[in-house]
Amino acid sequence: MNLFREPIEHLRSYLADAENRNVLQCCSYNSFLTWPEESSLVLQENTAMELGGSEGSLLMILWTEQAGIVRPGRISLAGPDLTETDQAGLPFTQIILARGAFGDEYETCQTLQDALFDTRFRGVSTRFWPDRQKVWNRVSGEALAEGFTLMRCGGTLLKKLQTLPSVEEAEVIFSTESPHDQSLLAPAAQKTQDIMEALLKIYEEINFDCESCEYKEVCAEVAGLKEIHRRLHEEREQS
Amino acid sequence: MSKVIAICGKGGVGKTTLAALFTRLIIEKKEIRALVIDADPAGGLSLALSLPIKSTVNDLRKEIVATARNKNSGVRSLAAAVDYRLLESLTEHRNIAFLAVGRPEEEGCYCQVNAFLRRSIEYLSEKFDLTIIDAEAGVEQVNRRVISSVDRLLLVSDLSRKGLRVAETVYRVAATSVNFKEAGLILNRVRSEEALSTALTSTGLPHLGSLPEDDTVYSFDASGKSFLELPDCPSLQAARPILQL
Repeated sequence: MNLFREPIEHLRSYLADAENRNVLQCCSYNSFLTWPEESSLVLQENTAMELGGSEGSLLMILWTEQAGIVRPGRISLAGPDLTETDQAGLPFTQIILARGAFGDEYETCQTLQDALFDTRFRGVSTRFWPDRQKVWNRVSGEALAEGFTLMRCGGTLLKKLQTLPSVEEAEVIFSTESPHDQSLLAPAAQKTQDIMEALLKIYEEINFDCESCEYKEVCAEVAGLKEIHRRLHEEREQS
Repeated sequence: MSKVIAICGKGGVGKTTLAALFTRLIIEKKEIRALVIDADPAGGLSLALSLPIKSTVNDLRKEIVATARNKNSGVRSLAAAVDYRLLESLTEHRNIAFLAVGRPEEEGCYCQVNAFLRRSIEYLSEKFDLTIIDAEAGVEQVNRRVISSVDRLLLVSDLSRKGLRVAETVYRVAATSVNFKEAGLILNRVRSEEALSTALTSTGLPHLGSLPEDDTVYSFDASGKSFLELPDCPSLQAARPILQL
């Protein structure tokens, strides 16, 4: 199933555009490109760099079962990495893209969310607001001095995703480029959010009256959602 | 290891003053990071410290209820959102982070929401070296709405019979319903050794310290000056051994 076909296509065209503007850097995962995992609280007075938060942020978790869509082990960054800027705050977009054999879409969503939310970086405070697709990182001066970068952050996330039995390939994409870049990604984020909300409604509410549902148009547009709904309906009738 | 101190007692006996004195002492110790929670609905600690309130825990409670009514969110997503909003609600000043609980909920059962928020506050509190809670009269509200266990329960009272009785009642209730390692009495506005001795003989509570009548504290309080600017004074000296930094 490929629920997120449209946002992923949008994402690819954004990355192509970033490459044309010479603001894209990529690297492949290797085991040295990671960062120690440890839960930290960074207060304002110790913050050297703020990613997202008041600077604006976007968060997307996307998955597919289709081959050839994910670039395995790839970490892409549109915009400067933390060592390449002297700004104290940057707009921040974080995207996880995974391919695997996912039996249950709801569980997949939870599993990928858990993997992301549970990955904590030493010297970095991270907070997520999934409903609003927000992410906020405070990076301490100590972490920056020790070499924390978004490439390392991406490497650590890929390492975590590799431990999930259902994930076969994963890719991480960041953007720190500009608020304008966030507006370029906003349509993909909105579509992702619509799909996620429809999916949650399908799984968490026992409502099979599609005519009165506020996500009727999303399900009509996104291939696969109706199929999930039908399957759940049958399963619940049988039980 | 994070240590939690809750300050309880009858209204007007000086709980907020003690919490403000503690906060003033903590900012001297840069290596210690403290979460200061104003759990008194009156919200006096924010004024005493001149720290603005961004949003209260009660505001978050309303948000959670509204979100749960209007939108499909997984439990995990909601928990993450509460962590995000809590960090956003903190007013930070040097090594201090301040959080206001706000007025208690209106009609309706909020047990689940409170439990949810309490877990998030506990998670946040664990990241600090010290958590100071300026509580309502009794500790049971703290237990229900803020944090499930405290290390030190400080029962503040002036020398009045009423103040001491309330402290004793709070202690008795806490002994049966709250996890704490140490609890004891802090006497405020003590004018003489004799008055102190009379008060102590009338109560069986362990005595952990006393604060004197202090003109500097009084003038800061009256003029609305921030206790974070408080110069060295008898109250500050008396609060230092009670805090045990």
